[in-house]
Amino acid sequence: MISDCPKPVSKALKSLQKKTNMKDQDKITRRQVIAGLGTTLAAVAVSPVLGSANLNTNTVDGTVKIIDPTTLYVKPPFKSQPQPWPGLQSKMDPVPDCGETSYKGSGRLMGRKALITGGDSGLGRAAAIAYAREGADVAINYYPSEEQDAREVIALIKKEGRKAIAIPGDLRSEEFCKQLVQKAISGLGGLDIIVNNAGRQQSINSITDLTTEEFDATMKTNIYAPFWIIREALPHLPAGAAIIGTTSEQAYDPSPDLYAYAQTKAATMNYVKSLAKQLGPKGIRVNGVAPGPVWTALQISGGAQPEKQQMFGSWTMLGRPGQPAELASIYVQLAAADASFATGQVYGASGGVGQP
Amino acid sequence: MIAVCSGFAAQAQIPQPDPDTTARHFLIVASIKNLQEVSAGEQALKMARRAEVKTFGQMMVKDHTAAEKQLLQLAKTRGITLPAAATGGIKPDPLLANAPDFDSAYVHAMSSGHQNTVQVFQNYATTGKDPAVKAWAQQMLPNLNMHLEHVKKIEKQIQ
Repeated sequence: MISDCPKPVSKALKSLQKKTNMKDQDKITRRQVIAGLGTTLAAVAVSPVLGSANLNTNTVDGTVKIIDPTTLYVKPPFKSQPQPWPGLQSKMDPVPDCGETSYKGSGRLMGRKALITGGDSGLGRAAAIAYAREGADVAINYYPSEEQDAREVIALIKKEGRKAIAIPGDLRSEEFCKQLVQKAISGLGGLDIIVNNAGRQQSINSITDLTTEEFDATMKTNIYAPFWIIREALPHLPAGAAIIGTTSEQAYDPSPDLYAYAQTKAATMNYVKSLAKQLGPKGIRVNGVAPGPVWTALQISGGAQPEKQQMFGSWTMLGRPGQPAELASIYVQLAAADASFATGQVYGASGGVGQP
Repeated sequence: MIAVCSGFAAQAQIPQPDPDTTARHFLIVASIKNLQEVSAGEQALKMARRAEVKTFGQMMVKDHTAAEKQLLQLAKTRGITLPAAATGGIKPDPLLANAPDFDSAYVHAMSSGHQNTVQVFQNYATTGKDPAVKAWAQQMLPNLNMHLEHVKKIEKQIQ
């Protein structure tokens, strides 16, 4: 995700910052998981996005509008808006644009069955919306406290006439990851796209202030969960299936305050290349997406230092952070059948800074 | 005299070089840094356990409040309008509030933040185009450096 700045990744599941909190939230998680996933979702009003600024490129006469990327979205400074982990994007100002009003599909994923972790907000949400509009049925996972954001996504997927499965839970649990895959398969009637997108990112200036609990939560969410999910799902994946990991510019040029997070993104970049070799002969493609600074709840819930939050993305060559909607088409491309020669690749989008 | 100061972001957290060296951009960044410094200093007054950390927090509140006043006056005389997001509404940093060891987290944040601030001010003091703003940046630098040395000393002590 992000580069050094931050990266952006989706915010989805992360763990808690304090032990006390951790205990409380774990209780909630367990209770909610036991209570059953995917509670009924009434129609939910979807929060409006950024006014006029969006990626809608359609014009009346059917030609495609040319858009200046430097003026497409709001530029920093942003309001100070810290939220406790994991944060809700619906409470952000501006609300991140995940393509709610702009993404237009063209049947590229018709009939496909996708599981997206961290699908309630940020990049995972942008991918979920785009996948549904391209014709896929979609299961999203999220942390139980993110129910509000998740309901919006479920409503948007259903609006496209696609199956939408909500599976809240804590990815730090191996048992939950196994259940997640089984529930996705039974809910969707199969599985052929996995997007391991959920990430935990906490900015901590000194390694001496990094607790074992925090380090462990980051490793569990960002490294173990994709391992548990892929291992559980593999026997069910057909040839032609696609696995996508959200990595980051941090994998290549880590920030000093993102010691824990950045190394998990390097690991993600690496497992993409390893698994691509392992699974290529089976016809399963494995690729990664490396965002630069993208405006997501990950950044305002502890992922970036306060000042960096307020000037977020000002250092890119476009003078602004990316919006999740601007990466949705990459997730679609890597999942689509016509990307048939792309495996072991990492595709980036970072506004002229960072790698790859 | 007043010092201005710095922000929390660690050096390199705000990637350098900053391509934008206009006076307005510089003042926006400096203003946010001032306000965050005051906010964190107030947190230190409440939460710090060590006397020297508390004293440093108090100095941050005093110096940055004064520096912000100067900055706003300067912007006014130069006809530079600053966005509301840069001049108010700073909220306490949850990373500090929830830190297992506040003193340590605060001192590390101040240390890396001041390094970054000194760089930002040096950058404008060297390459800035508005002579009045440039002069102000130069005038602030000795105090910023003093803050940096001071916090580094505390950092060494508490290690």
